[in-house]
Parts: sequence; structure tokens; C-alpha cells
Amino acid sequence: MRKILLATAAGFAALVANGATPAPAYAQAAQVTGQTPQPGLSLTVSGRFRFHGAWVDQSGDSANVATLNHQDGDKLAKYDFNTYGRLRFDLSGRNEAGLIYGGRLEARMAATGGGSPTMFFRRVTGFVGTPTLGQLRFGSGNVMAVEQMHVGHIMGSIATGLLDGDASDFFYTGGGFLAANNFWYSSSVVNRSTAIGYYSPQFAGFDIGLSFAPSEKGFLGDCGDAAMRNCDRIERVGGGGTNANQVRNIVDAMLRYRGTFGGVGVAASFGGRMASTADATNGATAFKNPWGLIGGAEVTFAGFTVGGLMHGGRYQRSFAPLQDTAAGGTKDSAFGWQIGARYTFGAFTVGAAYHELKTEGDQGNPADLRERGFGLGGSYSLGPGLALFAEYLYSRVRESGRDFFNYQVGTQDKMTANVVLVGVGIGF
Amino acid sequence: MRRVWLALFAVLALTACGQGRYVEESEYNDDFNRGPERGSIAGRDGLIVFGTDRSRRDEGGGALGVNAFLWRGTLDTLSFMPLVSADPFGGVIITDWYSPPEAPNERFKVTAYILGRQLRADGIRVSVFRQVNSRGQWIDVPVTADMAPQLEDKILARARELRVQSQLAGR
Repeated sequence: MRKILLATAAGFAALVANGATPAPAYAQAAQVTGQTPQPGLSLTVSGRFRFHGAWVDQSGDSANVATLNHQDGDKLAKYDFNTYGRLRFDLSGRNEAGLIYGGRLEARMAATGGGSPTMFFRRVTGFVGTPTLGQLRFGSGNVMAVEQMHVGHIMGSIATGLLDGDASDFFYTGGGFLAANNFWYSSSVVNRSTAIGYYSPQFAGFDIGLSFAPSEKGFLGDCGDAAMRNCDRIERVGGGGTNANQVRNIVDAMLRYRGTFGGVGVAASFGGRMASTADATNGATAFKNPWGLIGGAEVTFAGFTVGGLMHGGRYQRSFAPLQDTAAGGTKDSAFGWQIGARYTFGAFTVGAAYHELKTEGDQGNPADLRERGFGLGGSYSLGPGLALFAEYLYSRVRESGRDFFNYQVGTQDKMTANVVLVGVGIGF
Repeated sequence: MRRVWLALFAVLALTACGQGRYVEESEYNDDFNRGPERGSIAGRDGLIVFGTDRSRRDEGGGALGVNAFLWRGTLDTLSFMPLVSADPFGGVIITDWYSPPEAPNERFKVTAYILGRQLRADGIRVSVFRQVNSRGQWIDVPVTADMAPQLEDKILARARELRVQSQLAGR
């Protein structure tokens, strides 16, 4: 009896191993996927609304020297509220031949204009692709490969993004204040150039991205400006006292790996950006061609993520080019790094990150511009699309011997800020 | 920098020749999707003005409440057994008792639970029940420990096969 029972169990196991007779593959696929490979088009509208309350203690928040924009005695309070919203329209479709295509239009409130802020287009992007060949992207925003594929920017994934998030809108920056919130590789103005990009399928965990932008300008460009040097297509700048710092021919290349090993997720990326600047003639100030490399990695296990990245090359903040000649300062390198960790448990996510950045800053000053920032934050999801969040941020930016605030007596070569940000976010 | 270009073009050549996986929009960095809000009041990807939600290509949502590849994979794998119920929204498939032809005094019953809308290794859970006929009465007896995991692996393999086929079906 025992032998029969074991044999029968083995027989059932054999039936399990052999499985069912599969139906014709295409018919099965059609039944399973429903929408794909069924052709068609869809339009989705989504948006974000956030309300913030912040306590801000920053350098340069009072004046004791009169300037064009300051009076002796001006002083800022340390608390305020603000709101922020953005809309996005996503179109996506698939035709009979399996071609995947679509577009995205994203508009958001401008950071300035406290009374009635204007809406501006943040991203206008289209894409077309196939499952086996990958996709082509074109437009402004969501096209440049470094922004799309870098790994290790943990700071940007905690609460609103810590120093790369919403708190930056509370800083008074009109007087020259700088916060340690410059991440050229992240979703920022720097990556809004009108570009074309290719993104490959993922093969054995690897995928690549390549992009090209003929100029740093985005959207419709700026050739309606009276000054020729402000047109996107400016190639050479002439005239004494004029800067030939327009960045052109921006090429990004990124390689990314993502895999899972026994429940541990691993992701890594490496690549960079190179560009040229407009030529200088007839006494115009020449600038060096900027370039940068970036590499990062993240490890995820049981809701816990640790990661970091490093970047370096020849650039100033925001990937701006360096002057080709300088009265002082002979170095021309930038270097930055970041490390962070994040933990998600239930409806909570908490995390912390630290970063440093060194750039030349004022090239007439021998000292470097050094930035360091720390962020600690968390969020709580109350339900689909509704969350509470809180952040603490510390920022320090210093360049020895450089006076950042001409509206304060003496030389202020160090700027610090402490921010506590709380708020509610709604997504639809 | 030159070596970086060579490595990148090598990967590009490989992807062009091989059967790569299409990378979805959500797999690229986007500060719009970054942030404390999880999901959307209006459903995962916002308000659908017209058409159907195409962002869940990997989930094959459609009319099902669970991952369609796992659903179909489970039906395919258990098709040799009679079904009692199949709830595509709750993701539960229950078979009737099945006796292998060579052992009419033994029977098996399987319950499969599909957990969620994503095709994941932990997205399927199977329970196997076994009875033997002893003097006219069916008595519960233990099942070998690896039988349920074997079924789960088979279902996952079939689901992955169906997903690959769906991606290639557009050629």
C-alpha cells in the first residue's frame, strides 16, 4: 500500500511536471494580455499637489548695507507656508504591428511669483519603440540619458527629495545665497535641453541610454531674442566682455545593470556627459568644453535600500563650463559624492543621505567652492495618493575669501542653512 | 571615455541581436513619480480620459483583478484537473478532487492563490490536498513537502513564457 501511495504521489508529481498541453502561443498571448498586443490609444491625466510648512534659518537673511535690492535693516522671518502643483498628460498607444508610442506633457507652477505664479511646461516628450529594439525619445525633459538612468541618488527618493526636493523653494537666493542642493544629474533645469535619445531593451540585466542635444536650450528655443548670442544656434561669440559659455553638442551615454540575487536587489550605473562650448573670437571670453563621469549603485533587501554615487569631471555647478583662462586658480576639476539609506515598512518610509561637492567656484579666487549637505526625512502614506512627510536639512557652502553677501558688512565666505519641512502631498 | 563608448556599443549590439525586455517608463528616473505619495487617488496611474490603462504591460491587467500571466499560467498548469471555481478578481482557483487513472483509491485537490497584479516569484501560492480511500472512506494524508513548490515553479515558468510570448506577439 505504501509503495502504491508513493508511486501515485510520484505519478501526480509527474503530471505536475509535465503540465498541460500548451495552446498555440499567439492565441494564448492574446487571451492573457488583453490590451497588449491589442492596438489602441489611451490618455491619462495625473497631478501632484503639495502644501508645505517650513522653518528656515539661513545665512544672508538680514541686511545692514544698502544695495539696489536691500535696505539697511531688512530681515527675513524664519517660517512660512507654500503650495505647489503640477499636471501631467500621458498619451500611450500600440499599433497593429506592435509599435509602442506616446507622449508626455507636464506643466508645473513656477518657483517664483508669490502672488499669482505662472504655469510653465516642464517636460514635453515623445517616444516610439518596439519590445525588441527599444525606444527612441525626443523632446525636452525625460530624454537626456544621465538624468534618466543614474543610480544611487538616494537623497532624491526620501520624502520630497531632501536637498533635491521642495525645501529649496523656501530659500532666499536673490542676494547670492547658495544651498548644497546642486545635483546636475538629477531632474533639474540642466536636463531640460531639447534632445533625442535611444534607450535599449534590457538584456541580461543590462540596458543603455544615449542622448544628444545640439544646444542647452529647451522647448521652442530662444532665437526670438534680440541678442544673437542668446539664440540656440549660436556657434561663435565675438566681442570683448562677452562670455562664450553657451554649451552645445551635449552627448550623454549611460550603462545600467539591475538584478536580483536571492532576494537582494542590486542596481548600478556608469556613464557620463560631454559637450562643447561656443567658440570665442575678437576678445570674447573663452570657456572650456565641459565633461563629467558618474557612477553609482544601490542594494535593496527587505525594504531597506543603501546606495551612493560619485561624479567628477570638468564643470562648475549645474554642469556650467569653466573659463578657459583665469586670473587665479589653476585647477579645473569638480568632484562630488553621496551616500544614503532608506527603509520602507508598511506605510512608512524613512531615510537619510549626505553629499559633498567641490567645484572651482569663483575662478579668480584660489580657493574651491565646497558644499556639503545632510538630509533626514520620512513619509507616511495615509492612503492611495495621500501622504504626510517631514524633513530636516542641513546645508553648508563655503569658498574661502569670497564675499557672497554685499548687503552685509564684512566678508561672508560661508553660508549655512537649517530647514525643518513638514507637509501633505496629494497625487491624482 | 573611449572604453566607455566601446562597452556601450557592445551592449547595444547584444540587445539588438538578442531578445531583450522592453523597459517601461516607470523604470527611468522621473521626479514626478518620486515623492511621498504612493499611488493615486484616481487609480494607480491617474485619471484615464479615454482608452485603457497601458502602463501595466507587465501585469496584463485588463478585466482581471490579478496578474493575467499568472492567472493563465495557473489554468494551463492545472488543466488536467477538473475545476470547481475560478475567481479572476480575487485570484483564486480551486480544483475538484482528481484521481490519477492508475490509482483510483487516491485523489488530489489543488487551491491556487494569485497574489496581486505583478508577475513576481512570490505572487503565487499553492496548496495541495491528498486523500486515500480506506474502507470506503476518504481520509486526509500528508502531501510530500515539495509538491506545492513544484506546482508554483511550474506556474511561474508558464507565466513567464506567456509574458515573453506577449511581448514578441507584436512582431
